[in-house]
Amino acid sequence: MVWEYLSYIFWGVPWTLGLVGGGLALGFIIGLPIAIGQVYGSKGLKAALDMYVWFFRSTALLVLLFLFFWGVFPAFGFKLDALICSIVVLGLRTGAYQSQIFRGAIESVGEGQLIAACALGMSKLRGIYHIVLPQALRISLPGWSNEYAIILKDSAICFALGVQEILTRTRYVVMATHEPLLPYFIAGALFIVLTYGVTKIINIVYEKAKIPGLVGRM
Amino acid sequence: MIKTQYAIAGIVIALIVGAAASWVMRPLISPPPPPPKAKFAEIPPPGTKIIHGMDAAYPPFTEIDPTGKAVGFDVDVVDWIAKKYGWTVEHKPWEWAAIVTALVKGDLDFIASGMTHTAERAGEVWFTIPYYTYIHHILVSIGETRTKEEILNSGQYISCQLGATSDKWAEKLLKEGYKFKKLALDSYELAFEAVLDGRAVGVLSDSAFTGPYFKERPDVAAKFKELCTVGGVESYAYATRPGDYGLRNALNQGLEELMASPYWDELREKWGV
Amino acid sequence: MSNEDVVLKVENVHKSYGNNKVLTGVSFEVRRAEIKIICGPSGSGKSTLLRCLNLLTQPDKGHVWLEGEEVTDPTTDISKVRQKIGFVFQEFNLFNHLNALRNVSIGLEVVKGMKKDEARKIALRELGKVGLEEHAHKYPAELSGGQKQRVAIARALAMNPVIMFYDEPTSALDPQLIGEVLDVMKKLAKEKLTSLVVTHEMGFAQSVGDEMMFMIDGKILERGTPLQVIQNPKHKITKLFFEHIAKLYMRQVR
Repeated sequence: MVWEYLSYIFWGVPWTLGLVGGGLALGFIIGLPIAIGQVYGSKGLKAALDMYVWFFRSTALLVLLFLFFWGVFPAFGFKLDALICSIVVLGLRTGAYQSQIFRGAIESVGEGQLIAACALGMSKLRGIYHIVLPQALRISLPGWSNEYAIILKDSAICFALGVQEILTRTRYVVMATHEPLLPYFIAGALFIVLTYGVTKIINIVYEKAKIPGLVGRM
Repeated sequence: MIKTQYAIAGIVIALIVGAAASWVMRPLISPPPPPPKAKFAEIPPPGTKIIHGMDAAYPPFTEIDPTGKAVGFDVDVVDWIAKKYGWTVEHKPWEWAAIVTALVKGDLDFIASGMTHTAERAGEVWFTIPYYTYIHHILVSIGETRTKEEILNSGQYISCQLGATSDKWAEKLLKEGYKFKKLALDSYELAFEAVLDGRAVGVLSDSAFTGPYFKERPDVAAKFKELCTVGGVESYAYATRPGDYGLRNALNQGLEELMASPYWDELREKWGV
Repeated sequence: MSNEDVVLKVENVHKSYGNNKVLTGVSFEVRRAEIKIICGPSGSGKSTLLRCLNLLTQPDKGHVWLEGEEVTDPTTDISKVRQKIGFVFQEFNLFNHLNALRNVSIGLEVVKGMKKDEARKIALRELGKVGLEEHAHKYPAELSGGQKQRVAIARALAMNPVIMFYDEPTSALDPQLIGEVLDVMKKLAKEKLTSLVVTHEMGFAQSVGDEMMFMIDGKILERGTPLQVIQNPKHKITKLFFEHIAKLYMRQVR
């Protein structure tokens, strides 16, 4: 019985990956500038960014989903599709978390190198781009892959807006077949593969990108 | 002495926070914005797209088949009514906890998903005529000899489904002073199994679940007998937004016509309700 | 003494951090091909001075001119000024994610907009000048302290500066590695590359330095040829300082 539903559960994977991939990418685009602003910005900028990070980290994801789907976006006059809205909210939230990962990494690069870059004639921004970021991003990789694993779990909460990702489908199958264990077992296996598989890939990238001689320091 | 920069930053932040707070509190101090204009104040003409909201986790009324298509008793009824009026219907699964909000906000056009007509819900949505009735009951092992009073005061476990109406009824009974222990489990199946295991002496279920379940699993049915009913008769109805008179009238007429026809019995037979 | 001879002119530079007055009015000139040494006890403001001269640190008061252009003028393009100054740091500050070659070439690529091939050719040449062509593909983490500092010097040289600033270039090095760096600096000095050197290395100062300035409490107390200042100082403090240094040297030589 459950075997008939296998393909239905598996078709949740693209939805889950869409949520996770979209959310992570958006979070990266938001998080990196925030981190740069928090390390190098003026006091006013830092205060504003701190508020953003505080808000999106302390508010529960479910609350954020409802708030944006039925509150924020309609207030601006448009209604987003459930999937897009979920990706946006996930992105805003992980952006807040990612910004702290990047911020720690940027601060660990140390200011000496940036000063040397400026002494050569680079503007601060150029220095950040050519000297600080290549190192900070490498350092961020392990923490960032952790963020992936977190969003993967969070993606299930988007069922609240009707997105049919893996866990939602699994629940439906459990109900339709009256089999509580097997479908969740399959879903669990899927999540393990998705978590472990992608984290492994990120690790390989991290190893390849490592700077020779800096083993142990990173 | 506080440095000037900090003071200015503090004032600016306070202003922004204050503005944001008053924006958020607006509904509390001013009248709420008017509800969205009724989409279906008139009967929807043929060809209209109507979104049918359902919780796909509630067989046999609404569920998913292996291809992911929405099926179930309610789905068939809705399809029949849609055909009658020439509507194009989209069966949209939605999370139960948010389904009423989705209807009120316009993401769904009506809810047909084994939804009980309750006073609380009737404050937000307006229901069609009832199309199915059920009652809560307590079932015990077929060999059980004790009476209702004895079971309810036995101090032993009575199982029910966590968060469902049976859970609420169990709580009501406990408040009335009966002495048993509530065993709330994740699903009705598990609640029934608890009795078969011997962990519980009885299961508090509702006939909307028990009926189809027993028809599907006669082996399980053979092991139980009904001890007593609990509470009054409840009914399922479809939910619509208050302003959608046209849609609701159409649904009502469709339901009445269908219920009077032999197809209705066929559907009930098919889904075991 | 015409003005074109003056590469760097410093006038009355002040810098305080809160209540801590680090520089209390420093003025001097550096002429072309001159090797000027700055020394003094720690806390005298030597490093801060160098960083104020190319505005890595913003001075509170005072003016600086590089080849006649006023550095401290807010309308000046500071990036162009900094390209003309080669800065060598005490902590090397090499770019850890780039190998030696790219460390030297990146300034040319990013700041001067040179094509990669041309930049790397120049970089290789500069690395050759400091004796490190064979290590061009090594990363900073794979180099010794002395090698790192030589790469840093090559990096500064590649930009073709009109003056070099050395901020205690050997202070962070193991004693046996100091020699290789000083040799490079001596070679460059002999090629008449205008330099402003903050250092404790008295041997180096005496052999190539043209003028030495002794700094204490944020201003220049004495100046003269290295020999004059070390062996015949006018002030007692100066005398004490050099005696102390000499004792350290003796210990090291033994």
